[in-house]
Amino acid sequence: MAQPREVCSPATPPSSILNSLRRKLHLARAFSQCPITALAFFRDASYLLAGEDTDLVVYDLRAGHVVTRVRVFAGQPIHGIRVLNGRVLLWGAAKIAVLAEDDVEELIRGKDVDALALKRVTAPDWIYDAALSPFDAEAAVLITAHNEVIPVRFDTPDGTPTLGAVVSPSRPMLYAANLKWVSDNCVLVAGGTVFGDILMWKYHLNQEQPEMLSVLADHEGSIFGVHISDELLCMDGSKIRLLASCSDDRTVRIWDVTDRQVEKSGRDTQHELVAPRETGFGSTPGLNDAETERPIAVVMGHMSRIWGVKFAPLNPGDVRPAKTLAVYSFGEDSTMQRWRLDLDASSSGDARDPTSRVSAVFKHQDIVDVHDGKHLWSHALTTLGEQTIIATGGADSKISLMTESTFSTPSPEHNPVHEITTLDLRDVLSSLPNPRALGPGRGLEIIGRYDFFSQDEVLATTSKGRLMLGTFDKGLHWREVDLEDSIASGIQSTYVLKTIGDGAALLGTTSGSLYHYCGTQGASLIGTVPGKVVNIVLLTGLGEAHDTSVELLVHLHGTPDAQHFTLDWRTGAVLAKADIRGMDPRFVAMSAAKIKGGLIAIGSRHGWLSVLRRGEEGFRPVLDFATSSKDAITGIVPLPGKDADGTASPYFLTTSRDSKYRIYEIENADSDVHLHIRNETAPPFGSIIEGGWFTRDAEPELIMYGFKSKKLIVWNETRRQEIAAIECGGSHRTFTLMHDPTDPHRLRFGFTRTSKLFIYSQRESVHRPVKTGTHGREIRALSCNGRYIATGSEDTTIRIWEYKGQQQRQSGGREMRCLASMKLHITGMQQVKWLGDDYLMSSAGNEEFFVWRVRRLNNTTYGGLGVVCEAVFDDKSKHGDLRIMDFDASKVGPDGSIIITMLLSNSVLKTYRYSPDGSFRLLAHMSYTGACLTQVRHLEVNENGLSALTGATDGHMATWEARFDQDKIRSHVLVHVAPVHQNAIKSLDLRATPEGFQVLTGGDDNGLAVTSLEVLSDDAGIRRYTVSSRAIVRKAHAAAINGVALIQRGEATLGVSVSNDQRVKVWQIGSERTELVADEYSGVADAGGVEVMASTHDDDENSDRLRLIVGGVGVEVWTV
Amino acid sequence: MGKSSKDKRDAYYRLAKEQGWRARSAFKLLQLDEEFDLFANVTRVVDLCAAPGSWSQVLSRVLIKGEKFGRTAWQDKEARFRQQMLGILPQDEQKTEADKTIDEQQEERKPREDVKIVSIDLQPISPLAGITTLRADITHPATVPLLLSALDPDFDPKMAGTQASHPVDLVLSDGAPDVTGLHDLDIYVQSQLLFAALNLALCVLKPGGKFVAKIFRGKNVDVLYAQLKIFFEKVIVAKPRSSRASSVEAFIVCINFQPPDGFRASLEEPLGVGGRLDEMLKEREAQKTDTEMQGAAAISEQGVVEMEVYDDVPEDKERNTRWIAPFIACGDLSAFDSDASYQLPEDHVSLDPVQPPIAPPYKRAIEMRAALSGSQR
Ligand SMILES: C[S@@+](CC[C@H](N)C(=O)[O-])C[C@H]1O[C@@H](n2cnc3c(N)ncnc32)[C@H](O)[C@@H]1O
Repeated sequence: MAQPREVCSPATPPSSILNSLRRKLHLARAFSQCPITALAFFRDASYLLAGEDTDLVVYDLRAGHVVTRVRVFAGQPIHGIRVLNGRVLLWGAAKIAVLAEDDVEELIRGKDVDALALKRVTAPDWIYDAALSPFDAEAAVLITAHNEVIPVRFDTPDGTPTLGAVVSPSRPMLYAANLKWVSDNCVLVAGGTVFGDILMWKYHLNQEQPEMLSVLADHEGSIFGVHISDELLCMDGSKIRLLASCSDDRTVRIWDVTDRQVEKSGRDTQHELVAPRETGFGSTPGLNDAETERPIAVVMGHMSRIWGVKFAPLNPGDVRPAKTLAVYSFGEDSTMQRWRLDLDASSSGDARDPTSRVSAVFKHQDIVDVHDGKHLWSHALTTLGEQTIIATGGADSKISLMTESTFSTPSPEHNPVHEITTLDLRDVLSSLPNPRALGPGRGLEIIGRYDFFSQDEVLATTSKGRLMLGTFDKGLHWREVDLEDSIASGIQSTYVLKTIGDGAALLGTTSGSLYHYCGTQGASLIGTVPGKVVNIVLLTGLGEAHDTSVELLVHLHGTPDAQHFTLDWRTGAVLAKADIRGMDPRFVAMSAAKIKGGLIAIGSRHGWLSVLRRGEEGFRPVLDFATSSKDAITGIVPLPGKDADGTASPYFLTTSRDSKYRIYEIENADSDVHLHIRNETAPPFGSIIEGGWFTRDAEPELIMYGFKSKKLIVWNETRRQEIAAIECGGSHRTFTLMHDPTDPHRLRFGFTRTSKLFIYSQRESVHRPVKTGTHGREIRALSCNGRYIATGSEDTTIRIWEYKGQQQRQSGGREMRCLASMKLHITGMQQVKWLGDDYLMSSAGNEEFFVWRVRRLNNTTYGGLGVVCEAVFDDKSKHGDLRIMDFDASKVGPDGSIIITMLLSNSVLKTYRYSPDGSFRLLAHMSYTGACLTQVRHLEVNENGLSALTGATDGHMATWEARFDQDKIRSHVLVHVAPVHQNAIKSLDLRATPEGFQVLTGGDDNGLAVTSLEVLSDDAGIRRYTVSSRAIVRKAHAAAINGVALIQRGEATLGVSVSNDQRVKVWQIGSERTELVADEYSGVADAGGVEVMASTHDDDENSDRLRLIVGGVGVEVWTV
Repeated sequence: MGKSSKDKRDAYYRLAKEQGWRARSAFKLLQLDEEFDLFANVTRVVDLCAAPGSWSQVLSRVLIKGEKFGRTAWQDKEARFRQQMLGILPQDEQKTEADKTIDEQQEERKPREDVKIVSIDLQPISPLAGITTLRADITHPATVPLLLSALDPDFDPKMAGTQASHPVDLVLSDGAPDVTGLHDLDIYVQSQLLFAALNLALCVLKPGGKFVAKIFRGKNVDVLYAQLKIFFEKVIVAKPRSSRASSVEAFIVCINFQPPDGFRASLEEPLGVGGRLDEMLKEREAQKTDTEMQGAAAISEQGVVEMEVYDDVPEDKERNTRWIAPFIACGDLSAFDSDASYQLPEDHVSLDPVQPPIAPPYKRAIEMRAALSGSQR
């Protein structure tokens, strides 16, 4: 093997020579999206204060955007915010900061944030809770992770808080704590320990001795949340107090912690605490004088650990005895659950007789699942009048707001955001003044078909031929439509009822009659078809004021042939009629739409698409197309066009019961019609998609709906927001959904269950996002192609983002807009990489490797991307259970072939030729030593061979060469191997130099290394490279370096490194020496990598700045 | 994940079962010992956070039974062969290693005398011959007297204070919290376990003794390194090959215990909270020239040039004193790689774990959920 040329250690230049570059280098965080770790309402929930990493961010809840952002701590996330009596107190770890409410008000009004008078102090230990005193505006208390209370006072000359003496009855580690002021000199304390005990004690201001009350030892795992309730009024006027707790054991428990003032035995507990004793799981605490108690209610909820539990605050005006309480729990499973606690609290009971005390029953009310990934880290609750407002913040950096009616009986003028109305036909009929008498007829009269007739009306048939019209006006009011007898008997066999325009409907019967009904004209027979009507599909959307006509298809039982009608939707006049013939006999139509060029697309029950063209004799199929779905195509929607009439877009979207939606492009040549798939996505909301539409905004948004377990979900795919989640018992065959054309959040949903009609109506979305988020799990890999950023996460999804100016916001605020989310991997992501503008590749465990085609959709105002998985790698090992750690890809040759080298976790590298037809052909493979290879880059590739560089967990860098052969699978040849790091090479970037390459690597060993590669020979076309020099900064970071980037800027070479130590560093790499030129705190824990986004030429002043993106637990954009 | 696929995914999981260890962690201790010769002249040891007990097993087999373990226990023969083939192992290293292997095999068992091992965990530890096991929270103040009386039967908590009369040679702690995912909380709780272990070590370790503890290499770990350096001559952060590169875990190896003059461990003023350590550090720094805090002079090894860094980025005044301990990867290069997957022979039989895993606190929740969904079907 060739020996590398050794480079002598360069003489170190005198440190007085300072490079001028450093002073110019300004590394600044321009954008961050980190877990939301603290939330508090401000000014009667007009504003929301959020702790996002080190920053306090203020949101205006009415306008729905950020008002201001202040950095509170230098390198510490905010863990809690409390607002009371004119003061805002914030804390993070052991750090505390205070400011006046008025200061926040000033900030909101636009005062310069730097001028802010934040006062800071550091406590001796980590803080779990803080409580400002409601009795004394200058006092507060803190509780630490070791069950110690620290009093705080603010009445110092400059307002800096001063901390008093620490008080604790014993110092075990806690995982949760809560403080409650019960009088001007007493605070009730609840501390939850690692091994499942809850310590209840009292802290008396200005007294050294705490008062131990009880040890609640019933949980079976660490306590992660405790909350002390307000005092609750009993029937007899006495008062009780409850405690809620949640734990690793997946339960929420409620305890009666009413202070009943029993005689205490007065023994010295302090001594016992330091006596030798066992304290582990299952051992009983030795606190003899503390009572051991049982919870009064226990309930199991959540799929994993429960991080928090809260009682809804009582309405201060409410003086009635407490009967039901709302309890909310917040979980690792990223859901919030609402529980109803029914109290039997006639009296607080006798201290000596536990049986006389309060009892309670838990009932599950609702589960709210609007965050991504894992963890609800923060929440805030407030009660305003009859509404409880809840804000939740997650690891996904999303903030969601939701409004609920309180359990107390609502007043009549209360207008709920959403409600559900049930219709039992018998009740309705008996309430009508004079229902039409019907013949004896057999069976019970039940609701037949129904549809929303207009914004405020619903039309329904009954099994005995009635037509009922219901009007929504503070409830639902029904009347019976007058019908001639002949029409009534016809309508009795209605199989389809379809609204075709605002206040007009078409009814199709089993005997083939079509009736038109509108308010002014009543019902009339407009035609017949030769068979039983099974479906009526509008081709052009609901008839509107400016339309004169609608087009629709009438489908018949047992035949694919159908009738095409053009109707004046107001009068029902048939303007034109055409046959549909020549369909495949197996075709069962489910959905249809008019698409570009006057064509009609029909979707079938088994996933087929038929495209029809109008000829002299009616419509005939010109293309039968098998989609990749075998399940029903439930909806077809043309994408909004750019033309004024909006119909000329060459794309249409299909929704399917296979859980995916797809976008096709129509290629309409003279005789042939072709469909090309441009997008295939499984939105996260459910397994069965029943339909969708585009909003009418200038940038239309895609809304879809479908069933997910027992709910109907309405989902905004563009914003990735749930609009509604309606409990309906599961998927329904007949249901109807209506939305306000201008506001997708106003909607109605009707469904039948046990022959009753249920109608759900909402005025606005029950929960709305205050801030959009990112992956709810760690980003493991990221890649930029200049325009888009792709991220691959532990949550197994890949997302594509655009970093751009926010739409609504002034002041050049920026956001990461999610343009696509792909969930095809089933194991944690290892790598994503762009190849040019349109190819994206991704790898994960189980040897999953996908090739994605990413295109912009032209000629439509819809801004979504077209993303299709073009190929799935299938040449797996026998068990297919290896991870594909990294890969590199290069385009070769004119036919669009791509050479891909991938690293498998069993120390094997493999090189394939990928063809755009989706095939992979193995060209070469080789095993390394057994150490896991972690990094690979192509140094040179052509049709005949390649030269590559790898890094491994053994800290070695290796160069490889392979010659390709038409007929044989070759082996890679190891050219040179050299130790660089002490163990795993975790990150690598390189750039070409005149001699070869310069390589920057980051190791698990804290080291940052610069290695040069030199050409060894290029005898047969492919150059071979060897390592010519290696240099390392041993203590570049305090922890593993997970991401590096090399940047050429003018003459200078800059290196960027990100690490688990949460520092972002910039290095100037010279031939002689390496210099640290910037070093900043980063809020991204567990960084997965750093990428150069492109220079910031598109905006404002600093045009020569570079932009970097760091991804891990959250995302940050930095400018250099 | 099934047993068999875990065998492939994790070589040390499989080896642990084959060699009778209760947990794969045993190899971490063995590899640390191989690098730092931890057990030389050691007879009295405290093993903290010891459940299920594989480190205690190592202690028992090495100290009580006098067994020797070396690279053969974790060497991947196939990897060695490939390394030789690919020319990765330098010639001389190959030779000395071969010798060492032979030495190991020939040496006789030498049980040591007066061995005392005390193991503590929150979880119960199944009994191990010759080892005192205690169930306790190491962060709890009551654990100090508990440990002292276990080490010394004559100990009287009312009289003796917090210093062991018969100190120990080595304190180990492999403690890890059940991580929550809130990174700074996890790092904090882990550091509290480390400080609790250090606090106990300060009570029981004899001058010159060694302290080895698990550490999370995350935010502000350099503050911890600096603080540990107050008490020991050498502080090194070590990563055994059996610990995954993808994990933040590493081990802090502290050698030659030298408590500062006049320092006494105190229950009232435990380490890890308050500013005591940082003050001590600032004091020391003011006294000493900077050579001490720069760490051992780094050696240029195998032709890699050590780069000096010109670091004039102003220090943030709010930040504590920091120092980055030198890093050492241990367990030689031909050790099984904990990040790699391994091919197993067709007839591979997956063994049962030596000890069933500890039941999680949510076991009941899982059972109830299973019962519920079963009854609905
Ligand atoms: C990685 S395991 C130790 C494995 C052990 N060294 C072995 O080889 O079997 C970590 C242990 O730390 C224990 N632990 C965590 N917190 C503790 C505490 N506060 N006190 C005592 N043990 C604790 C856990 O119960 C767990 O058993």
